[in-house]
Amino acid sequence: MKAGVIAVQGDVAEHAEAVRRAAAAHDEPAEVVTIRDSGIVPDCDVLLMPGGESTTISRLIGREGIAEEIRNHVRAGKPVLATCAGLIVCSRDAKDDRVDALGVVDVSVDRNAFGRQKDSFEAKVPVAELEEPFHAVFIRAPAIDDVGDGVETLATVDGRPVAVRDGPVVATSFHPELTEDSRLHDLAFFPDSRVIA
Amino acid sequence: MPEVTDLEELRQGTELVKRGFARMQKGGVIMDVVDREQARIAEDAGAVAVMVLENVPADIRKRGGVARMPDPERVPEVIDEVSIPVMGKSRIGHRKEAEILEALGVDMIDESEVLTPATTRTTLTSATSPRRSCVAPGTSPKPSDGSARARP
Repeated sequence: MKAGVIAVQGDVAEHAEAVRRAAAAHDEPAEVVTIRDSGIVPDCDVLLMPGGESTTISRLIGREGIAEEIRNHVRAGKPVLATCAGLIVCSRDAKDDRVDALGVVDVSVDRNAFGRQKDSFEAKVPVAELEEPFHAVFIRAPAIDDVGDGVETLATVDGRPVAVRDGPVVATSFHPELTEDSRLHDLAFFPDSRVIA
Repeated sequence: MPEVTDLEELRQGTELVKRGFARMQKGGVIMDVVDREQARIAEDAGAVAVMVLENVPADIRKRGGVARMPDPERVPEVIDEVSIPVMGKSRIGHRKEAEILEALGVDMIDESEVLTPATTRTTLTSATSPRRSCVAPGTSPKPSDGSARARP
């Protein structure tokens, strides 16, 4: 499996490490590449959209010509895991002119819906298809507002969706790459696996 | 702030949450700004965060002044202006400045050696103050740098 981490800004190293760990648990040889230029996404089997600043990431992937490649990747039905800023960038509508949303996940999002950094939190969150709750880290996290037809809500906090699946894309408000739990990577990249429990 | 009520083991101000925030800034530019107009320019230019300053600390110190935290009235203006994180510097060891910055809603506090040190004896730790904002701990100043003179 060739995994590409969109690496223009954000917690790229954490994502690279997390996808390596997830693949290793499935005995899947993984080549992980970090992507700052166009031309690499088309060779990738799966993509990861890190956390960071959505305004910055959106601007840079647009300028470098990576944005359209990500859209093509999703159109081809290839998997993506997007977290926090990654979710915002992938959404249909970030309700903010400063973010040029890719529209590959049919949701609208509210940026920083859970407040500023002093409101950031970690908690155990129940996730559909997972038996045990997921230890989720929310950092100036967005919430999902409007969920389109065909989008599956995987988790909510106080009634607001925080994890969804839209076709090949799994997107979360929180940061599975900051913990050692690979179950959301499994949902995104190994959906038929029995490792998910 | 939305009330979070239905979660197991909800925790705030933890090491994971604080360090996680710092990790999200990687690979980005944090711009020094002194007012909301500069903050707007920084965000439009693609900065990942802004650092609010009273003025250029080196200039203040060169004039023999005390370089402090930013004006508490200026910080909320910058917070209103931009959607990216807002950071502030506190003097080394100055717990009250750090607490004020946290109360104002600053996302990260830089306990900074470029400001005039408030003490040569101690630095802030996340165990004492503040509770939820990130603190990038300062480097203890050497007693020989004359900072005792500038103590508040």
